[in-house]
Amino acid sequence: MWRELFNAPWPDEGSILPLEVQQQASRRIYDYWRSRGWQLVIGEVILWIAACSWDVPHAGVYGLLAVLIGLMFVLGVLPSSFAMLWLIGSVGLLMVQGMLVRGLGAVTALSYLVPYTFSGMLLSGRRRIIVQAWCVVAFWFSLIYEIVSRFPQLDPPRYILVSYNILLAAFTFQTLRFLNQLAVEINTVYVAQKVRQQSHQFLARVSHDLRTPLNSVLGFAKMLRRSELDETQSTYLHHVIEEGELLNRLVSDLLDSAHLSSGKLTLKLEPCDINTICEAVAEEHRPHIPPSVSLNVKLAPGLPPVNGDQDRLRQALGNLMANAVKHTAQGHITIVSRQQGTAVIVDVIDTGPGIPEDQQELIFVPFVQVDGRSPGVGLGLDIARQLALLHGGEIHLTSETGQGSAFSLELPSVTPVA
Amino acid sequence: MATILYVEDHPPARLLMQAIISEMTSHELVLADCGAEACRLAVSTKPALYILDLDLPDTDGLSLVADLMAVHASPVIIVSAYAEAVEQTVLSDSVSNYLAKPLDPDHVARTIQRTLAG
Repeated sequence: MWRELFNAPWPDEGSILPLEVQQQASRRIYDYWRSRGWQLVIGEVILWIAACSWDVPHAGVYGLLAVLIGLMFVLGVLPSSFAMLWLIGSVGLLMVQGMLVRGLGAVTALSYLVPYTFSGMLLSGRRRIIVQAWCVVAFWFSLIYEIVSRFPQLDPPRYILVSYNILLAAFTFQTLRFLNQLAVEINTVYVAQKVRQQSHQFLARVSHDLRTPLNSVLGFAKMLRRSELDETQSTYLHHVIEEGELLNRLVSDLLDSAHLSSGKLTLKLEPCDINTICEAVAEEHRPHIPPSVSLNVKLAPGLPPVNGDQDRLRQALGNLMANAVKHTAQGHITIVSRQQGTAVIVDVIDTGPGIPEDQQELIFVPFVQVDGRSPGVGLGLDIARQLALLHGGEIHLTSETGQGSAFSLELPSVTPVA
Repeated sequence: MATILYVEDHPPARLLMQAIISEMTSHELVLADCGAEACRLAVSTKPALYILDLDLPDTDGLSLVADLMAVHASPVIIVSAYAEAVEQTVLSDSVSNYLAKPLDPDHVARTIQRTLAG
């Protein structure tokens, strides 16, 4: 019930939040207190002045102390630990309460503010919400009781008490709302992390389970290729191997995409010659290019090396190339390497159908295929772009419907060119 | 001719390795389907090379490597369908090479020759 009332889906009490999330939450709470603290200090100053003008005993000293503590707290002079700040802030509030009214006001403060403060420091989850909600109810009850029962004898210090309690109530509800909002946000981050982690483990498991039978299918098929086969048998076997390799690439793509999105993919960086990679990629894809399409490779000589992971750069460029091969039925595909300032750029230009402008961002989204008819699951361009970003580079697309597309892989070179 | 000990619990994968070794190399293959059997066979056959699958029923690849090294030290090739796990294992000093599933027979034969020669 409390959960619904406060709209705060707390993480399970038994679970421990990742350190990163905890730090983020502490920072947020600290920032909140610093910004809201000013309101309290201003409120305290006003009440202090009022108390002094009505000659409340010792108001000057208590008030000065309360305001000083509030100020130090807001300016961040005091320890930054959130619990300490809360405690010190609350002591300041209690002192003002005590200075204004001896008696019922102090009881009100003790019955509500102390449990509220300490439950915030010591409890978590549902228990904290229950205690804090009880404090707020108790506060309102005592406030109404105080006003109604003493209404005929209300004197100026009582007005101050009422104003002060209203200030505190506003502050409390603001804080509760902030904490609930924070809890929802933390929970969202936490759940998202958990989901990412679990989907990662799930993908690793699935890919393992897919590769195990694939190992037998592809391995035995390749062993069979070594024996004497007639033409038909060879053709069948060729298809078994080709399709098996395609399936294997899909599994690898799924894993790579998961690793890239969770930041778990690490690069083995070394100076790479981009022209060598271009040539390798061109040769790898040449057999898959239909006869109606010509492949041109134009490599600029003397390009500076790029700091990259050879295999991953080849994969990124290979994905751009595979995309061009897939969508070009006739005309030509051109790989161009060039230098622009300190960057080394590889263009993969095709004469395919082109991509409409409103869909040019969409094609880099995982699992999205603009035409919806191509083989594959729609991860190639996403992986290529993420790999480029991981290398400190980028992939740019220029395309016009009916004119073809040009994907440019831009990478920073090792040595800046003078 | 060298003796190679292959530790793998998946029967078709064992059969495939047997086919690769017998058809493409001149070495002898001894098979084990779990870590305990591998340690027993390592004592009796003193293999010149270990090929280990990382995903075994009774142990994980890395602790098996340590156990086998204690019994009889020889080069190790790791085979796995977990590309990630393979990369981490390669960092271990005792492992000479790794092969990712699905295996390519030519690549397997070349890697075995290279590891035995090296």
